[in-house]
Amino acid sequence: MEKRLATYAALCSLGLAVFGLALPQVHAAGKLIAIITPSHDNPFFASEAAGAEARAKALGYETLVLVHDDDANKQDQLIDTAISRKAAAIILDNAGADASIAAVEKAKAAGIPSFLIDREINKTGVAVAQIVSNNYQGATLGAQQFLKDMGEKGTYVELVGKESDTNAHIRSKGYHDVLDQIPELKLVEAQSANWSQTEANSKMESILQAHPDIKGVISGNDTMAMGASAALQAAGKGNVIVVGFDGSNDVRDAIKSGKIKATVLQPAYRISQMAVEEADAYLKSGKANQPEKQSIDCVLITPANAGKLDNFQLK
Amino acid sequence: MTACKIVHDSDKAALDPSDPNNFDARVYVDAVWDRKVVTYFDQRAHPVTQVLASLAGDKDAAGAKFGHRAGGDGSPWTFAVRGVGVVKSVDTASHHGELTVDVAAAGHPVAATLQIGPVIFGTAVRDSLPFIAFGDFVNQIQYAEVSRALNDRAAALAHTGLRPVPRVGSKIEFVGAMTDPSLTGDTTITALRIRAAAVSAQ
Repeated sequence: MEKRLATYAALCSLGLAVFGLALPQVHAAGKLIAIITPSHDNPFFASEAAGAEARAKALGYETLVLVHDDDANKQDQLIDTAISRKAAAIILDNAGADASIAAVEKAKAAGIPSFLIDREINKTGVAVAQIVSNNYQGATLGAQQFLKDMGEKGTYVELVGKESDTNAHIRSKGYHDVLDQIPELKLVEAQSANWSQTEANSKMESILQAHPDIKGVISGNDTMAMGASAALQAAGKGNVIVVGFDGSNDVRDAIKSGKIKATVLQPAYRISQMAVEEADAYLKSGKANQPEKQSIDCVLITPANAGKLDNFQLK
Repeated sequence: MTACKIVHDSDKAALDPSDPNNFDARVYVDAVWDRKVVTYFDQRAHPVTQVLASLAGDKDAAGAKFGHRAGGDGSPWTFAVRGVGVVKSVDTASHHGELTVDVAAAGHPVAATLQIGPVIFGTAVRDSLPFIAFGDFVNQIQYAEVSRALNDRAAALAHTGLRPVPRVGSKIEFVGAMTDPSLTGDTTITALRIRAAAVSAQ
């Protein structure tokens, strides 16, 4: 509360014109919602963009769907585009926890509220909402299943996500908080493959040269799990236990065919819909109807429930 | 693990959840454990039978009355609960120790699993505490570290009630944290306190 009062006081001191701009009602008539995410090459981001777009259209908004390709400079330009197009609100899956703060601040200064999905920024009070999957809870679920499939012993490899993304660290932390407590389980290699399928594939190939007898691979996301799985299949090591994170249709099918053991569903489609609903409520009432930081629990996907999974939703 | 900790001025930064460079979850949890966390559970835990019965009706009404939602409307209801149960099984050999009990609810027993560590799954302890909010932390990392530190303290405290290990068929009292059981189908409680039931606890 103190923080909010201070913000209002600061805006007031800048003069009425600026204060007026900061009020969301000014742009509500613009009725455009900008949806900015990483590349849709990863089905996770395609799904969250689709979820946001569908919900925004259903609520009567026009949409502007853009991708920043995990490039903070490009993201900055896209925020400029949203500002010049007088967007009423921005739904953003950002390009870095620190690098994105200035971009969100710039939108705020232009009177456009941002609703962050999937990834956080390292500052509160700038975005109206930051809705993330409960990545820690999800990672501990994935690690518990990995532990079970490994029979609580053996050597394993961890594939870590992109360094600039808090989610890479938090998932790794969730894995280690479970797995490090089991003395019979041994981590032989941990490498970043930057969320990328092709990079995970080549990293896995070279890891297999040094450690041909690994028993399991735990991955920070599904695209890296797919890359690792392909390398393992190609090397005739289809019995190595692979666990991913996201809940993509690709990994669902790999679970059904036994190539991957489990993944963790992030309700991406639902999170982006929530962000649009919260933006709509904010534009109508001028205030947030939820706390800024929100986390949505993940669900473990195994052969038992893989059949119910489609486009990041359990049917 | 010490029961209490003297916080020096130099540790103040370690207690500030908005300072990711100096924040230390263990120092933070040590500072609030006895004074706030244990007090909260001892004073505010509701009978688990009452919470479960209420959850079987209007879930959100039950949650608002007895529980707490840590991360907004999309996050699960979490509860501080207490109860008395008959021990059905004890597993202290696994790293993820569990004790299953039957708690009598409206005439028929309900099976509940008490997590006793040392490896504790989930974030129920943290999420049931209204004074520890996700929004107070810079990001998920510090928030997760607090959960881990709370789980470790909970397992250590619960462990003091496991010497001697309760026999199957004996009656115990417990206090702990429970996430809405309808999400998994299992009533799992992270235990903070376990002790042999007093005769008067019937």
